[in-house]
Amino acid sequence: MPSWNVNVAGVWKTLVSPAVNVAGTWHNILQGWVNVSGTWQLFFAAFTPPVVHTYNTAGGFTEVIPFGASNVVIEAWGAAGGGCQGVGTGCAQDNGASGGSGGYGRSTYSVGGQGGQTIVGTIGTGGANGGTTADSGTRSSVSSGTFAITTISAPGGGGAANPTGGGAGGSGTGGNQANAAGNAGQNSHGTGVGGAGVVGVHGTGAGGGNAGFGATHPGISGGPGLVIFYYT
Amino acid sequence: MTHFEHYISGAVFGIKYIFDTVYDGLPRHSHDTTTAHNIIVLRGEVRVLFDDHTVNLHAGDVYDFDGARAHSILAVSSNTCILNLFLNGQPVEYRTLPAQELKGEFDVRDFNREMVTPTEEMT
Repeated sequence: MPSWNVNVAGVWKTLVSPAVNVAGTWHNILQGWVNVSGTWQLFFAAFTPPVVHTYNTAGGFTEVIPFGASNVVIEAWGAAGGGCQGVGTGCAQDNGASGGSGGYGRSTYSVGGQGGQTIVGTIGTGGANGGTTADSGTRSSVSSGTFAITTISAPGGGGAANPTGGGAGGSGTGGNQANAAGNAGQNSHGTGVGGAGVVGVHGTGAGGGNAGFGATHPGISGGPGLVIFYYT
Repeated sequence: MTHFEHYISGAVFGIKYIFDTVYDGLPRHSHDTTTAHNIIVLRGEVRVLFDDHTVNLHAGDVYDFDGARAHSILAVSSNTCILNLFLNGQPVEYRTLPAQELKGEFDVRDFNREMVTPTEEMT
């Protein structure tokens, strides 16, 4: 989120709630724009709760705490495991084994006066679908940057291996509000649906990859992990 | 148990099934043109169950029907053997199947699908 800094007696300060007086009445400034070489660019945006930052692409990320926020709820889900191809041919086609969903952790922290500080993390990679064996999802995590937190770690869900469904992702750890395990996938000849994603407060994790129906139809890969920062 | 084995002879393709006991069989299903088949009873007796009627087949019978209509097949006698010949030959995607899909066995009761309840006269 862009910030607006002013130099006061040689010290740079970040404006949290700038206001302007119009005909005797003070109004909060919600946005500030500047024209650079003919292009308008946003240089300031007021904190208007809730502010939600979502990460769901596999790989690392750096979260910047927005100025003006007083509290954050951090939720992390591990990536889901992949589903297998179906089983059987001809008259005996049926669902193969499906993948499990990832574990979950949730924390809350006071972030008043911490605008601009960072928190880092990693989004787990969803397990690839497979023939007779699919891949497991990998762990998502959230940990200290310049702002210190207890690391939240959410394991990935298990990949299916016909005829056995993928295991549930292990319980998350490090959450100071909640930690939970994922849900297992189904064995062959089940409904073929992957383990349900864990339902959090502000989002739901990826469900395990569904299985294919019949030996010539592949399963579905598991979805990536998820991390949500919910600021108020 | 139901034992299955793919059968191919030139351009002719089919799947042979052996049903160990009464109640063994094939779950309710239907076909598109790539997997539609007839039924040749090589040994024993089977019952083909459609939603609105049933057909009893005995050793030596050859049965053609509309495979797009949902049906199931249940053995009426033990050690029953049928050969389902595919009307349009081997589906292309069957050429690369792993070995366990070409020959093996399964228990029809493991299928999570609507099944037809065997009647007393089948026992």
